[in-house]
Amino acid sequence: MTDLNIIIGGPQGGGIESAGQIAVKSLVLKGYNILGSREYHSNIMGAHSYYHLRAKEDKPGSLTLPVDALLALDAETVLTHYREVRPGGIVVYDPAVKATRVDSIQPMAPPLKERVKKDLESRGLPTTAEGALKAMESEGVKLVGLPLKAMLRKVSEEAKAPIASVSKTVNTLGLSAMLYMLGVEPGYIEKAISLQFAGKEKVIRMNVAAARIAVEYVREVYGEPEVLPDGPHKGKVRMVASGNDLVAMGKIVAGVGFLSYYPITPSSDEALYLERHKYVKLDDGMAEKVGYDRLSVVAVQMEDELASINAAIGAALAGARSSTTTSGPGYSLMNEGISLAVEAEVPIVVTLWMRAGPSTGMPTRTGQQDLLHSIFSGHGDAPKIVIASGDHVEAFYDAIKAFNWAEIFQSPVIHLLDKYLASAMASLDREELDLSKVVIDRGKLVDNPGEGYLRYKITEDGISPRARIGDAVMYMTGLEHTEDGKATEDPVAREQMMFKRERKMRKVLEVLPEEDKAVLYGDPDADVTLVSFGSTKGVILDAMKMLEGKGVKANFLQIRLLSPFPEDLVADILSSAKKVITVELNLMGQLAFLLRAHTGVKPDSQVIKVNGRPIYDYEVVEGVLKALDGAGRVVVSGGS
Amino acid sequence: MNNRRSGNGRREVACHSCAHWRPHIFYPILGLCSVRGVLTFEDDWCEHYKPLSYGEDRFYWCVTCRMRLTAVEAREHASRGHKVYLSGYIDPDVREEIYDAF
Repeated sequence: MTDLNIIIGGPQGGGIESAGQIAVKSLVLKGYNILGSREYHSNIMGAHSYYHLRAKEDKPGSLTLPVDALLALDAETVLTHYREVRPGGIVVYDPAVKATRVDSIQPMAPPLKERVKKDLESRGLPTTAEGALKAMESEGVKLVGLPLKAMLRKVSEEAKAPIASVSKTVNTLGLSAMLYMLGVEPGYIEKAISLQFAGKEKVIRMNVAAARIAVEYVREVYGEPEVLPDGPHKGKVRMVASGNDLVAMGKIVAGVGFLSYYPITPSSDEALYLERHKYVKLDDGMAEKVGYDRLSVVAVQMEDELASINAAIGAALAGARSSTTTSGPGYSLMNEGISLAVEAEVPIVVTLWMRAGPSTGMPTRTGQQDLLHSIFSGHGDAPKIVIASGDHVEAFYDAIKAFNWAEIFQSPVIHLLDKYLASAMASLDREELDLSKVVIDRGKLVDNPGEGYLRYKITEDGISPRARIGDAVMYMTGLEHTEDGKATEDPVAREQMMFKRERKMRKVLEVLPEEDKAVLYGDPDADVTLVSFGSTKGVILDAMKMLEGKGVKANFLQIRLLSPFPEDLVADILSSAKKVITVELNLMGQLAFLLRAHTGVKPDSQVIKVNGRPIYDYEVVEGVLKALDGAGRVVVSGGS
Repeated sequence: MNNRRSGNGRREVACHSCAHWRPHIFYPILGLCSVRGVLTFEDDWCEHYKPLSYGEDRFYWCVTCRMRLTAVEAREHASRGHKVYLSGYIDPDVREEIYDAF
């Protein structure tokens, strides 16, 4: 079974993203399932960034360490990741960086420098990139030195191109050498380069020349590697997309008419994808019916998050399927708008990409710290729907469902995701995004409400007929109101409206299928039940297999609907659990808190990670084993 | 003169010690010659060579620290063995690799 793990590292802006994408494409063309994610600094240029990639025959649910290959495009990468390559793995590096001292790398974080120096000194090695390379070599890692300067000169001569043109191929040289050493045939690398730079013939020519020179060099110096067997999907047309892309695709499929945003990591890429694809071509039948051949999504960058949420509310009132996208700090600013949307029963979708807080925190790092923030956002009793997606496919469908639920229950829906899922790329089969499964339900939307229309009519399920503004005389306010929307402080009317909003949430729990509330994976009779939400899903599913190899039978309860909380269902499932361990990327144990509050179940242990890096499969395993040994809270800390 | 080499075999009089050279901010084996307007390798040489100095009161670029420096800082960094130049070269395509991060 192939399980290939790679890290490509270098200065941010130095071609790391492109190299990662070419690696992804090469391995997808080779027939593998891939999962890849980028880790980068928020201070933009030059700081260390890396692409972490896994390729397997079956779907990788998790990234993992150690890796089989490290491509180090600078000294900082060697010194940052030298303890993350497995024995028997390879490191591709430029020998010119060897003499670089840890202390001389100014962008490197001082605490990391100290850890590296301490480690190298304890091994009796120099505190330089060469010391780190020797440390790897002593553990059985193969060192593959690439004389980048000489190779660039060769590319320039052979491609008869100025240095300015070939200077952009540094990453391709390293990447091609690494992929070839891992057994990827040059044809796949060249095809991936062509796909990566499609439409830029000169760039393709230059990079293909660089790839050939790198392959020729390593073949000559290190010999022919064993060819990596083809994966099971070779020859199939497949898709590679990030979580950001898939949420944007889901919104388009759902018929989003309006998206407002203020740029913020990691939500901006979703908005930018939507802007790039804002014209949706209609099929011939539909075009004939409506009289035009394409629709447009209005995607607007607003002046701030307050404007974003309020514009989204306005568009929803006018009848559009309306959404905004943000992350924790932006969501803080949207709180007042959320409260207004609850009070005025406005169907909006807020996509909330969690990142490492509090405050600005670590903007480009992941976390699950906004769970309680999302549920309790908005002042006053402000019940709302919060759904968390566990993987790429769920992210796509949940984006669609969120619009349906917003309109059916006339409520804000918070679609909760995180930075890891935002930037993680996954390979998908076309059939995994099955449009025949998509249902568009606009709830009690009425076209011609007629005279005597009551926008907030008291009904049994709490849901009133909803007309677009302009279609009827109605009042819309953040003040408490009567059935016709007029402001009131009458105590009876107030109670009626409070309980009306509560009944809608009861209806959510009543009509949503179980798979949208909570899903139990694995044997119900397992020794231990792991409970989590969001992007830890794939990691936990992978870890369950590893735990089984260690004699621990685990199952996994994924809670998808966080508000209103499906307490009966969750309590029922957990009633037969022998041991409960929560897994989440926050300090407070926010899911554990919710579990206890709603079901009375106090987890036996909590596995948490708060260092801003995604959780890895082996960390869940370690955490569970420690928890089974009696640890109350286990903190896992992997990643660079 | 252009063949003189330092202890590590590197040619002393070359782009890497020239006042006209702007090293690539990420891959400083390359850089822009501000006189000829072309990218060169660090050990290339031409007749426009002018030795680097840090006397002028202006901003400088430290390759080692990847940061901009004042003249006073430039002299200090250079005295610590850092590679300091009058400016760095940013490949215009670098933007394609920079994420929106704030």
